[in-house]
Amino acid sequence: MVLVAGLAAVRTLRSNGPQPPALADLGPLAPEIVDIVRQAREGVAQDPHDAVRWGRFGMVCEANGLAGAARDAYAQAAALQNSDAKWWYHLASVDSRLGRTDDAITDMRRAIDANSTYAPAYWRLGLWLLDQNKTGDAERAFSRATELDPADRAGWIGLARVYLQRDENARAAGLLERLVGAAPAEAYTLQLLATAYRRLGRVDEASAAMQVGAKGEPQWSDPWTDEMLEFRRGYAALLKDATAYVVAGRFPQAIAILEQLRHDRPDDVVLMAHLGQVYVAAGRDADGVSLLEHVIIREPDRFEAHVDLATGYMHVGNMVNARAEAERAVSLNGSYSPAFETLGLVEWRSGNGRAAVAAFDRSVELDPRNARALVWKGMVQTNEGLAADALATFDRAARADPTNVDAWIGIANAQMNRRDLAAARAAVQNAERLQPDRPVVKATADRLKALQEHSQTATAGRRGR
Amino acid sequence: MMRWRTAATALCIALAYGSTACRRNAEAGGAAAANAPWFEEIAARAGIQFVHASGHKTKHLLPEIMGGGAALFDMDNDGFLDLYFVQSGSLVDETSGGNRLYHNRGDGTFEDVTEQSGAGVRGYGMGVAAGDFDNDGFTDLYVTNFGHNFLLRNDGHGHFADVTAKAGVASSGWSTSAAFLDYDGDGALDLFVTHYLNWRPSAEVECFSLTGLPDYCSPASYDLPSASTLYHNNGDGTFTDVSARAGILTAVGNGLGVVAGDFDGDGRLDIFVANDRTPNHLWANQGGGRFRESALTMGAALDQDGTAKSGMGVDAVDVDDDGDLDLLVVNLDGESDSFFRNRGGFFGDDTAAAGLRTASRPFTRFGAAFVDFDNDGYLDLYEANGRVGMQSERYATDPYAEPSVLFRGFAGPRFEEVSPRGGTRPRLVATSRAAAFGDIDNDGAIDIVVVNRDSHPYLLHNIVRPRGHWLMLRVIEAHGRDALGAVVTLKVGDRTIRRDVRAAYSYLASNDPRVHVGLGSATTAQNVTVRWPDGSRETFGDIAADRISTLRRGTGKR
Repeated sequence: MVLVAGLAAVRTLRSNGPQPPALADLGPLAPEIVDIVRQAREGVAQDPHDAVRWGRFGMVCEANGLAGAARDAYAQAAALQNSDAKWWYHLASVDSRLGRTDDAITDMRRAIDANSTYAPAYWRLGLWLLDQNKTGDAERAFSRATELDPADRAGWIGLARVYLQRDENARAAGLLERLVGAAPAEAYTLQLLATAYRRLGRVDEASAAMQVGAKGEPQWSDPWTDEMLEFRRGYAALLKDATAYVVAGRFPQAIAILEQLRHDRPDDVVLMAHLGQVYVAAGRDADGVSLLEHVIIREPDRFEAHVDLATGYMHVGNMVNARAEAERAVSLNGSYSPAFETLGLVEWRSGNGRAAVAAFDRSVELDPRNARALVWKGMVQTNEGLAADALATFDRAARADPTNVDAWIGIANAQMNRRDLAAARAAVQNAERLQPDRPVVKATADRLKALQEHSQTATAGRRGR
Repeated sequence: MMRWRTAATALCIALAYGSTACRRNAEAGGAAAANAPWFEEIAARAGIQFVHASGHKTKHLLPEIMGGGAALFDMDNDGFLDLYFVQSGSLVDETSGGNRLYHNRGDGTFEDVTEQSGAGVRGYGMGVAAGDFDNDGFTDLYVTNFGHNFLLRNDGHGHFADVTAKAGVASSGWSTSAAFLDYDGDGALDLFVTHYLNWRPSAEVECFSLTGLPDYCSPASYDLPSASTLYHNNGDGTFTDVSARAGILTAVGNGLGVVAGDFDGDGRLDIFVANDRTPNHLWANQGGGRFRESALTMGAALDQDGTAKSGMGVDAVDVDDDGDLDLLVVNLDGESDSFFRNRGGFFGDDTAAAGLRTASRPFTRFGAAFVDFDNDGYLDLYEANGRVGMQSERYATDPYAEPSVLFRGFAGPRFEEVSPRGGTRPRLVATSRAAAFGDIDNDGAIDIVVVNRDSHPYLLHNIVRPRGHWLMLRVIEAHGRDALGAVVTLKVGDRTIRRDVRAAYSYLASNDPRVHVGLGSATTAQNVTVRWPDGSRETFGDIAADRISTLRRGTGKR
């Protein structure tokens, strides 16, 4: 009897508890997102006094763009279980996204009260305090983050930003130099270092650091945020994942996602073009060519698809079609740099070095950032025995994009051919800083080492004589 | 109590321009009353019937979310600012759309004079620059489009002739903001045209909002940046594209906003371009017709966040009274404004210190400018907002609509958001793009015209009370053209204030070229000096407040 009454009471409590919003109140959503939101919502409805269910619902909402609903859900989770820092943390993050910075700071402090060992809570708090120009409070938050997790660079970067914001430029430079020493290719650190150098009057060093630093963006990630992002659903989220895989060179993973998407959307020409491009990039040229041919039948003006198709044809040795497609792309959009770059490659493969150089030049004229076209041009010049021209071209490529490893390798090889081993060494070091494990970098370093040893032996031999 | 007030007032006068604490109390000096509206929306009452049309049907084509533009300029030299709207129209029907010209009757109303004016050109419109390119004393218009642009020569009698072909300035591709400037000091206005993307409908891709719905793409989805174009005025009604020779083709970006000014203090006009998701450009004028892209080395390519933000609207003013031009770039929601404070030829990111990081971040800002709306002597800031991507939290049925924001300026400089939000009551919510700034009724208070996507524009009449004294200077060359690029300096109390003669700033807009200065409680501006674009200087002595004065070249003391 008592048990029955207890169960009834629990049921009553549950039914009287806070309720999640109706799906219809969340606005228009893609079907895949509706599914995951509905599941999370039903979870809450089954037990509205369970903070974890509310938290999960909040994460699902936040990951899929429902920031207002996410905020309400996290607030509910935090109210139900205020000792769990994670809900306060997520609540603070959504507050910040919604522009409620004061609330974000308050909620993040509550997250820290609940769990004083999660370093990202401190550096995120520090960033918001820095936004409010409260540099003293921000410094304390960042310092605590570095104490808790010295390996998490975010806290250190935050400290450097505090120093810069207070115009303590020498102090900032010292810290940033140590960070750059540990990770020489990290762009954002170099950017900040460039700022510090510039303010200290170290103009040349600032310029060098900024040239590399401007090529990358800071990353601010943490496990709790990553956990939330796992709940992203829908076409856009998957496409974003696929793109990330392409950028990382993980083509099989990208292709798996894109093929799945294409299965769901067989008539989507843009998707078809994207998959065709990735097939070609991955070396699956026959698949790529087949798909891209379909694309340009459906949308003949899609100039980027013609460029990708030209590349595919080139890879399978069909130079006639490759040229036709590259020229078609040029005729469709005469100011599209990659079209000329591809035309240059076709010319090069066809043995027309001069025409190739002209096409690469046009490509670079249209997009001066295109260091890749300059590298191709340097290679053509190298093959044609124009060593000095090639060196100048590789040098220009490296200036256009100091993160282009092939440009540094080109410089290194050109300098080795000139027997300027010191200059070659500097170029190899730049390449090693960027991609130490890449085979071509290792091979070039080995070649340089062999030349240096040979040079030393020869020098010793001359002395011996 | 009465005695205390008197003492406080006396102290404030003694500290004029030096104390923000005084400023808040000194209502006679111009500090606006708390929570009172600063603007009243009067477009319909003023007779403005223009409705912007993006042409959006089903596919999300990028140009649809970026326009349109507006110019405030005096077409007939009657002393009142007229109004020109750039219509977007349709990307598939070139005969649709058509820009509109409104004549200011001087009585608070405008008359649509498009039909007889020849200014109603059609194209997929973006922005407009105003300047007297032929030195005949009448301000001409340059209209930017997705497609070819128009140069409209003003005969001063209400007629505009399309002289694009003869002048050789049609450009192509996707032009956005443009600026007339005399970069070589030869007395003829040259033309700088910013380009956005090398986009065309066949390059369109599919993008989605976070909630999975079809939406407009970020420019980063295309990777099709464009170079800007620089046209040199030959002085005979024609221009020459000198982009290559000048070095302008050495960098590409997704250009949206443009402002010209001498950023490095070498006496030559430089050009700053706000780029959307690519690093900003600062074209430092080297002399001899050459420019060098220097934004990275001058610290204005990226701000302290380290990312290439979504630069859209831009302004350049000496906000901190140190004699050099500071820069503001406004960006996408989630990204703060970038307030680049000039430290003598290079910039530091002072956004947080100015109070603009947190306050700006919730909105997507386009048209923007530093203007002293309440004439208290400190520049305020208005930002016209509207999203480019859908979000689940909406302010209106239009998923892209947002309220605009108004910040009150203080010494420092420091800014605080004004309540009511956007300075109006009721709060206005729209997808705002261009914002053009100028004094439409010559009452010494700057008004604002805001173009709203697929909607009526706002004509925001400045009603803030109390307001301080003011100075309005029409700075013109001997033959009557606005001396764009000239620099005015004047003393007010112990402050030396610098203001540039400029029409091109904000976003897709051309603004009142007259120099406006809020004077607070001061009734005279002292030692007014003009540095003309060729570097020569003239002084015009002290000028009394609360009137519009003309500073004609050759009439001051050299």
